[in-house]
Amino acid sequence: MSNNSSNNSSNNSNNKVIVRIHFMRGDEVKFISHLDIMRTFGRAMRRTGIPVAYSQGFNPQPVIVFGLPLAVGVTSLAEYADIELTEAINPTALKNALNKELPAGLRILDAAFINDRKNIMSLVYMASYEIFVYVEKNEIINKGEVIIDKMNENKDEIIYKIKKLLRKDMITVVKEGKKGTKEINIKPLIVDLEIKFMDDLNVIKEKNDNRKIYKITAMLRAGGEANLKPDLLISAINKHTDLSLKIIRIHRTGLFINKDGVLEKPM
Amino acid sequence: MSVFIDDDILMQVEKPARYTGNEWNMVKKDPKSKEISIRFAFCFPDIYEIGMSHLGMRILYHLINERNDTYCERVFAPWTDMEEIMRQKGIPLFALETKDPISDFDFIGFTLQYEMSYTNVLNMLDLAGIPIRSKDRTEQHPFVCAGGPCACNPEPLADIIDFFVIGEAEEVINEILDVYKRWKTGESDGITRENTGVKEENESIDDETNTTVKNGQTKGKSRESFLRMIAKIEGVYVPSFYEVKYNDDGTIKSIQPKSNEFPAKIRKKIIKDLDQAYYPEKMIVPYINIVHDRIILEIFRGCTRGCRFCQAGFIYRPVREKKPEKLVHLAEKLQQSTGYEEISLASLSTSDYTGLKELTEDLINNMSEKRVSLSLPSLRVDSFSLSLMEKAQSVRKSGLTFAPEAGTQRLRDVINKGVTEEDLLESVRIAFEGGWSTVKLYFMIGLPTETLDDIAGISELGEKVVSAYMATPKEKRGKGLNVTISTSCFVPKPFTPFQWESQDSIETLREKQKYLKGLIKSKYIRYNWHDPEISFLEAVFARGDRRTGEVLIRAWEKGCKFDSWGDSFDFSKWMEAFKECQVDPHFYANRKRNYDEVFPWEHIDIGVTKKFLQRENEKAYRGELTDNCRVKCNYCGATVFGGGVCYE
Ligand code: SF4
Repeated sequence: MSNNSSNNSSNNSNNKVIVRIHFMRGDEVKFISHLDIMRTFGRAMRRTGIPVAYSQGFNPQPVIVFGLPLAVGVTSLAEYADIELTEAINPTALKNALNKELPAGLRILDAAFINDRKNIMSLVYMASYEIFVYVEKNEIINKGEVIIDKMNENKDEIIYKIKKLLRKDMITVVKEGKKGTKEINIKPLIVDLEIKFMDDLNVIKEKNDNRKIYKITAMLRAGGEANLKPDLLISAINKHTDLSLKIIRIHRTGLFINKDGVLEKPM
Repeated sequence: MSVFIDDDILMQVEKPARYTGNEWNMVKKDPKSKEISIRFAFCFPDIYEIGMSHLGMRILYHLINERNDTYCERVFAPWTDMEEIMRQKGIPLFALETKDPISDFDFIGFTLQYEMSYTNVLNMLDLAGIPIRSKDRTEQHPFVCAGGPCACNPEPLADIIDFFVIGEAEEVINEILDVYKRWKTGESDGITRENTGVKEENESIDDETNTTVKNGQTKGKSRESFLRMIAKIEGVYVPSFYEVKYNDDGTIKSIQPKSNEFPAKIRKKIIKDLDQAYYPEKMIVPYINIVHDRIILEIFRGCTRGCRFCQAGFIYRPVREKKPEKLVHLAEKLQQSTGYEEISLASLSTSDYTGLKELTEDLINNMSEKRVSLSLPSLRVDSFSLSLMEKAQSVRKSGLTFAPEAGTQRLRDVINKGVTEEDLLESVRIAFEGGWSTVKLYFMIGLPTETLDDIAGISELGEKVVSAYMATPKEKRGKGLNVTISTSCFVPKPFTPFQWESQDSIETLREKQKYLKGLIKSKYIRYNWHDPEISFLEAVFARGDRRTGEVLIRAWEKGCKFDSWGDSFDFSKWMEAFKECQVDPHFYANRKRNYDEVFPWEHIDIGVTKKFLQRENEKAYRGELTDNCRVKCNYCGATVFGGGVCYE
């Protein structure tokens, strides 16, 4: 899982000055791809004039390592990146300078020196999400029955079906990788999952009375070792139940690293 | 009210960031504030990545936004996936900055960079809910204007565009907006007339235009009254004020203003002194990769060389340079405001910039510590430029481009391409010795007087380049020789010495391509060629008159759009459109004109005179070269602008 290219190597070498930033990605930039966000940060760093370290080679780029890519369309409160500097700059000053140069929707919440030997990318272990989904109401009516979930006393059919699925040991999905498609079991990647019916909400701008909306709160494995993207989770639910959940929005709420066996926030 | 674009939609389309705006350095204004009285939609009739790369758009966007009373926003052609959804859901074309529908704006301005974008102009108007034809627009519609190089023959779009800006728009646009403000607030026509220096009142507008006046609801605010006011500004052309008469053989008899209050000839506007001209110190930094994703520094306008096929070489005359100090200062500012990692010099021929050495040395010195690289396009290859490129770190040793344009010395002399085979091979040798191993050679086929010998010359030149590589010591040259020969098809363009010429038929062009393909034997040479069908249509519309406008509309109705994108180009639809409109495309593309023929662009004065172009045409047939402006003035006519190289 370690990456050998000069700017991505999983080790933050000891004598380097690394500032870790915690930032958010709002609606304004949710349709910007991960690669484009990386370039945006690179250019914002150049604009600050802060002495950032540059990668070697033909196209020198500021050395910034991001924690976990965010899919297009997803917002987040929990983005992290490590920025390598050539001289120590007060992290708060860096935060303020960079915030002035970042476009609307990208905001640094916190910045601090770190002296982890490993960079953020190689440490990421888990991520938490809020996933808003809906089912068409007539779809529910057609299916008729209301099932009583004895264990959870939950009268909602949708919630019942999802909970029932989660009690299985195997939940397989077909994942498209670089070397073709393969079937994987995502059950061990779901650390925790809660689902709740939302009767009133402002999660969607467009009111549509025919939608019944649920909020799924999920803790999923993340990082190079094992990674489950929330949209894949939803398609797995749709595949293994007769539900057809549609995603309204996904929001990443937390990112956790595995530091010598202990789970914690990156900063 | 801005349009609402559901996340669902953006999740379905390719590169949603094309439609979301909010990039760094985007200009934000509150359109509802009292200050903003004019809203301008700057439209580029192609996708975001292409439009955002265009320097003219970048300049004018910021220039117009310098005005406190105007908000200029950007609009690009939505790609077909987005368009389909927009049409399905009834979402009108909107501006990137506010997402407001552009049908509510005061101006829709198109930049016309290539003929094959015309159908996109129509499509964008339609998506915006604005009538395609000028005559169908009413007081509630925006004014539709256009500029850019293709506007030098505006006639194919004469029934579609309300007014054109001929030449460089930087100054004219402000005059137009000033007049508009007065017109909008109801100041009478007369006041402006005094201001524009036209004193006499003229009542002789013909019946047709008079009807428009009557239709104007708000007192004195008819569309026509505004157009009349701006028609007197130098560089502005209002096609509806001009009448075209035809001869029995289909050629043009005359083009005349309908009233003598309008100029008989519309002279292009230029910026005399580029150092004094506005140049933005900020540029929008897109999120997504665009074609030219870097700082663009315009070093000069025009070209002194006068290659006889090249429209840009004539319509931008005279050459005007910017001073190196000024450019270095600008580069600094732009780098600070954008954070870009690359600066590119823009001009028609970088090597001809008189301050090149000083400029590049200063730029490299200033920028290297900031890890900003310099890219030097259209640089003639010699030892100076190669060492420069190495210093500038901007060219991977993988690709060098040469444009001999023609395969033999005879034909290169015909087109006034002042480059000899020795020059070229010498450059190639230097490049190979410097470690380069990939060479691209650009040629044109179908040039006037071309024979099969000239075509064979292309392949021979390719072989000589291969031999030059083989003759380079192994330890010096790069590995893996790769020579690409690309041929485009010659398109005769207005305001060039070849404006009278006929284009080879599609069949002939194909045969020539096939012939060349058969001649190329070396395994190191790859051959690319352009589709002659597209070049044929370019030839029709480049020299088209008003009658070809109907064909554009018909082709668009049949679904033609994004015609410069191979996959959406449908030639058969175009041919149907010609047939249905009873317009013969060969009349425009494949007919040799007499020197005394009246051109559709006869009423446009680009500076360079018809007489000069005729002289150049005659010299072409004699194979005589013409010196560039710095060696000797050839009295092309561009002195009328009172600036630039002619007065240096
Ligand atoms: S007038 Fe002379 S110097 Fe000026 S552009 Fe024409 S040829 Fe060149």
